[in-house]
Amino acid sequence: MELMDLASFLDAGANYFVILPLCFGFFYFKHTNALLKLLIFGLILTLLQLIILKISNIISSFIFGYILAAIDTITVTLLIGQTITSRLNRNIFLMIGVLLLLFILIDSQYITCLNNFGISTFIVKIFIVISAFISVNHLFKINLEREIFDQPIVWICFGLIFNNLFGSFEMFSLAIMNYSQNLVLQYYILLALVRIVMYLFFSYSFYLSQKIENN
Amino acid sequence: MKRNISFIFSFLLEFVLVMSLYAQKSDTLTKITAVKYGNNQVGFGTGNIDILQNKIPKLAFDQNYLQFSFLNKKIPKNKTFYYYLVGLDYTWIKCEDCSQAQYAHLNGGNYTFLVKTGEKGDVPAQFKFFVEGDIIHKWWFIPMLLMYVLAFLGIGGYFFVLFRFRQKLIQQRLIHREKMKSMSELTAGIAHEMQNPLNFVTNFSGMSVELVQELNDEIEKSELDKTLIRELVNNIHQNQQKIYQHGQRASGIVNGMLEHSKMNIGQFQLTDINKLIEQQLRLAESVFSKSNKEFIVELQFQSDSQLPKLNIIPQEIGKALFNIFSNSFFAMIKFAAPMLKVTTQKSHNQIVIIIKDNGTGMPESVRNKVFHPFFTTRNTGEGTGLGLSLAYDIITKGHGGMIECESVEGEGTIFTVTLPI
Repeated sequence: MELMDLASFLDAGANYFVILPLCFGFFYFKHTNALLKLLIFGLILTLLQLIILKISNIISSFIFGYILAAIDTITVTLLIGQTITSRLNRNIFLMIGVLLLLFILIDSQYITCLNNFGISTFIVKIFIVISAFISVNHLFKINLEREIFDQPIVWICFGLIFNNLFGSFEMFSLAIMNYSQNLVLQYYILLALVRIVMYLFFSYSFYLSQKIENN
Repeated sequence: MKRNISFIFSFLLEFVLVMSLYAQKSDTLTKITAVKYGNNQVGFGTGNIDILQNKIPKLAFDQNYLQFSFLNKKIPKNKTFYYYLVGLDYTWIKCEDCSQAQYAHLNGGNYTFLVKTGEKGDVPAQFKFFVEGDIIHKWWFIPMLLMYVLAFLGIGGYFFVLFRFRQKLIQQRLIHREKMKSMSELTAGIAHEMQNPLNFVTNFSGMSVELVQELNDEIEKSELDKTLIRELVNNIHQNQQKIYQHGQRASGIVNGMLEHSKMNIGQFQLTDINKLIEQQLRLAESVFSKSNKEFIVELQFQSDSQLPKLNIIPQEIGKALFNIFSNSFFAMIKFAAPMLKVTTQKSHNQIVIIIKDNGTGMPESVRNKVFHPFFTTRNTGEGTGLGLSLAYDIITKGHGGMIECESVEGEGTIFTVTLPI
């Protein structure tokens, strides 16, 4: 199997791996709280866009890049927003999310003109990393009675940080591709594995939700 | 001789191969007509490469999007080819109804493009080229990778430190909670122990006040009833005795508490532990027998005569051992053949003292609390619950040793004291 085939296979496999946390989410649906329901919502959107991309050849994948960035922004803003207890801070955070959506719109229409979604994707990924980082940082400092790794949100945030920090490197992939296709393909193989790990973390967070309720 | 034969054989083989290649060269059916380079970022097919030049063409790093055009010289209509890019492909790629092959994003390095028809004996046409550039040599690549590695390590390290900090905080909170719990148990124990003698003191002093009043009334009368007066005075005397007795008990409790706070009074000195154990064993037995005259215990002391002298405070360790022995005697008081066995032995860098009795033993609930201050299973007034707690403090905090308790209900108890040499 050539590197290209392996990268394509793993990329597709990692994309459809979203089905695993969704299955967990639906299986433990009655145990999930608002936060995990939001995660299910985000995962459904991800799966839907994959299916649409598969069955439709009309929409260009470049446009899809922007749509994916917007979906990620909406899901993560709502998800992390749930963990912020202060109303003022939550509103500020939601506002940042809205501003980011506006930026994606402006970027797609006026800056990169639907030709390169790399900048929007990069900024969204950095936003997700910073939000998840702040959220986990906060979780580590409060609620000492509860074991930190028994909290679903911690696993979700770890998954988001891991995947998006690694994924933000994608912005440089086009530049690197001029020099070495192999390097980029190797990166995509790793990114696919990282994405699989993220979905495993999400699945575990759903499993934890029922475990916590049973306890 | 063998060497010469093999040399001649290999020469002949090489000759045959060269000749066959030469013969085949004239049989090349495919012609590479054009090679274009480009870059998918900038535009594809932006320049032509002179395929007739003798030198191997060198392509820049951004000229690595290549398009090869070829045709069948013999039958131009036949468009079935096999091509293979040495340096990238793993096998021949079959292409039907085509006259072009494209390669994108080639890494830096040497390549040879081979193309042939499917006909038997056809020798592939070839085009050699070189792509320059290695991303490692770009100034921004290594710093960018480092930045990412640092970001990952930084985040990982930060969470690790945060996790350790959290664990420490949880541990401190647990210790604080345990301290508060033992403090409340201690307070409850003190209150419970002090309540009884104080009740007695209050009741007897109250009764004495009434008796004195009665005595005053009797003295005021013209005819004194000496019998009554004597009776009243006797009662007052008895009450005072009781007050004194219970006052002493309260004082004993307070002294016991003070013992806890006055740890390590005395000097550390080299002490023969066997001798100390023997002394304390005899002392505890004689003290216990005085208050329980029917109690006769069989004492067994198996000492290791090779034990070195220990640097301990003999008064303190003596007190701890005395308390353990007294508890063991109390546990055997109702037994027909009580026996206390004490063994000393050296184990690595420590001395182990095993105190085994065949008394009542303890359930787990009691065993877990046996070293807690003011915890006692005896009736009120029979014990303060400070003996084993004091022994624990002396051995662990005062001498850096250990004390453990194993017990089986109905079979007996074993206390194991370990002291560092």
